[in-house]
Amino acid sequence: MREYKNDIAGSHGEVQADVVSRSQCRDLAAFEQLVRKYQPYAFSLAMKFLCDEAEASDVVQDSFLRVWKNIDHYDPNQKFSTWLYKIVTNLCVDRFRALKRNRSIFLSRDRDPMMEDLPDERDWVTLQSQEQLADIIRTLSNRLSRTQRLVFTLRDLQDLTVEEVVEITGLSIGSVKTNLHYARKSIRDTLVRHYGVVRGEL
Amino acid sequence: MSCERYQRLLHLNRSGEISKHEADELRQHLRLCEKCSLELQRIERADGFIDHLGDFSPSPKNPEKLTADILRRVRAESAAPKPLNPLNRFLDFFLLPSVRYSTVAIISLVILTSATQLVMMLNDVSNLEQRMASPVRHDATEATYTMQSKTLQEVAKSERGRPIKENVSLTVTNDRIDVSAKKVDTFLSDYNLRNLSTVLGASALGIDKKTLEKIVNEVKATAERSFRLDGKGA
Repeated sequence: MREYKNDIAGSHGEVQADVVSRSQCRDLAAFEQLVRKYQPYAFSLAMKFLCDEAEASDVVQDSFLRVWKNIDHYDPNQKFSTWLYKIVTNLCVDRFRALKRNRSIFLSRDRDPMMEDLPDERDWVTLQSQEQLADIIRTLSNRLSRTQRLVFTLRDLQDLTVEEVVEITGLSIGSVKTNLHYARKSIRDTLVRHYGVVRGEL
Repeated sequence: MSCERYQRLLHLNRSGEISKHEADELRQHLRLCEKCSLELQRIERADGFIDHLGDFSPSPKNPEKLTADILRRVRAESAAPKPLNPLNRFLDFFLLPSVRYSTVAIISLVILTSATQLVMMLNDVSNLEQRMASPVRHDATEATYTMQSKTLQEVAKSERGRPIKENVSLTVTNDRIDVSAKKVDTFLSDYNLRNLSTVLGASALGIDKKTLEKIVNEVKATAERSFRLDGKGA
């Protein structure tokens, strides 16, 4: 079983309450602190879900603008990161839907992402570019439904707990687990089909 | 339990999503089931890759620019005039000079009219109070209705007239008949005179219609109110 790193609250800790409350009083300096602290997490989630840097950056900007506009509605009893993730997730899903309609990201390369797009196994260790990693995620997630993709991204790629996934997506715990099961099964099948059961040099 | 359910648990068991009891069951099953053990191998193999992706922390190429872009948009948002809520928009309408003066004129007129009506109403109330305090009201309980009816006098003097005296405060003297009535005005109304039979219990007396008509006419012709204070002569 894998040890989870947990989310922002793990090594970094949640932001101090007064930074949030000062932001609620329209203190721009405090809000800048919030942005600097949470921007990496928001970007990471958006990038893993949308697999495109420009789209992810747009979603992050829109998310923080929405945070600023709605910070009065933030309940201090809730973790700020969970509230932010909820906003980022909603905007990601909206963007994903629009992109699917335009098919601009996902089919702009003349064809659907294929298993052949996956790198050689020995190249995994040296993978550096986030474009390559984003390509892999795009290829693996391609066959997932939107909900499966969302649950897999939050739980397995962004290391959030099942409870947090439930809170962010608004799905029931049963639905989260079912979607997680199908998402993992699909991705594992794809990986094993491509790389075989026997361990290579990874 | 079928392998399908165990394989579901296998896929779900990546990071503690199944209960301890389910994990124990799974472990026992894996000892016996080759198919599920192979599935576990496949899962462990694939998870090596997924772990690698989980460690991936993408970051924007230029984080400072992204922060600056966010803050620029937030500042623009803060500086932009807030859209007015419907109430403020409604109130702002009255800041237009023409609307303002018209409104003041209309409100003044309304206040003036209301004030006049109020004064008139108070005046009415005051009149009413005076009337209520006047002897008329007081006398209403003490009034005597005087009339002259020879026919009624004759009836009243006879034995047949006894019920009349009992039902109505009727004093029959030689020259007049006095009736004490609490509601003098009501008693004097034409309607009541016409229904004198009811008032006097005439039907019970067996007075014929003609006699009654005669009494009514005599009473109507001679009816006269006299007021007495404290039950004594006016």
